Amino acid sequence: MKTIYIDSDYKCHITNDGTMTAVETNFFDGKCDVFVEGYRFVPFGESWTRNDGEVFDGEMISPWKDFAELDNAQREYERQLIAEYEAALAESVPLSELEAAYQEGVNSAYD
Amino acid sequence: MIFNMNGGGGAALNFKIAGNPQPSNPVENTIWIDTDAKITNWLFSSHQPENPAEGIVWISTGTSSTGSFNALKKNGILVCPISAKQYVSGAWVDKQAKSYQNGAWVEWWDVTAWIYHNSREYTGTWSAKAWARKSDDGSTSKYTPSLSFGGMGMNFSYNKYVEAVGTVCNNALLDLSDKTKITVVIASASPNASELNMIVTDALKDGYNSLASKEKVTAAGTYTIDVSSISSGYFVFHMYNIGEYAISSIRIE
Repeated sequence: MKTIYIDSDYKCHITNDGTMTAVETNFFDGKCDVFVEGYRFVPFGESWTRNDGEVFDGEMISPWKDFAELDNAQREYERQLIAEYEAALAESVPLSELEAAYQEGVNSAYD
Repeated sequence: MIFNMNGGGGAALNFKIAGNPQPSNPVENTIWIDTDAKITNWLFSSHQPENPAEGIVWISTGTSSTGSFNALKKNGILVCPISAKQYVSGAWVDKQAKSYQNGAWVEWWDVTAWIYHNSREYTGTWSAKAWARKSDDGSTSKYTPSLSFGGMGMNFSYNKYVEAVGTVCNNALLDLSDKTKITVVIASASPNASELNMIVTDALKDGYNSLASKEKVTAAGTYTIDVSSISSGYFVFHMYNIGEYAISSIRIE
């Protein structure tokens, strides 16, 4: 579950500028900030009127930015996460060394 | 509205009800119920009757229908039939039904509108899956909803009293590049419906993403989703806990 903030046009924000409404939703779990801020969240009981006059009742969640752009940002975010995990893994002590150290410790207890 | 009479008809009635075989020379507003079981009684009601007798036909009614008619010869009672069920061997059974109007048998709902855009019909194939969406908690149980066609349209139900999810999906990849909204008409929802979510996703698989959605639907009505910023996607219904729904149309515009 993530807390996001919606402005008067129901656009989503990561931070509150003091005028926004907080909303808790799991729709954006795992999503990067760029992705979140390309969306509109219309809460249940409220309505948003699109600039062509169409009215959409909440709860409705839909992108206001081109989804392809948001999807690209999310994929880049996930690639970055994977790269960070792989880098952390590369710096970690190999399991074989951990096992060897453990065994050495065990053995030394009987020295 | 509940409108109950003991079979047959009266001089003041503007309709007749008949089972199989389909009447060959019907009068205007003849309602044909596609059933071989004896019709012992019938009624019009927006709610399922309690304590039904064997053979009774229940015609559910709503606020609109492509088979609407005046029940009385002198007008006054407009009836909007939506679907028909018959109580057979202790259970309600969906029955196809049509009305004879203006020289032809007409359906009570838009049969072409499963996924429909102007003159092009995206029929696809509907299926029920024990799928969750990506944002569902990993500990959520998954079950396959029941799915059928007839009566009011596409019918699916889900009866799990624990936190559980299931999905009904269409395999047609929708071209949304010049479309701005998806409109779903739910003809009926059971009083105990807990939550129905209507989702545009980019892939049909367990753990599907939500590109856009209409959330927490629990009642009949017309619902719209803004898709003006999405170029393509699949359409699915995501169900939570419990509910029976009848979908009469899904349009992309």
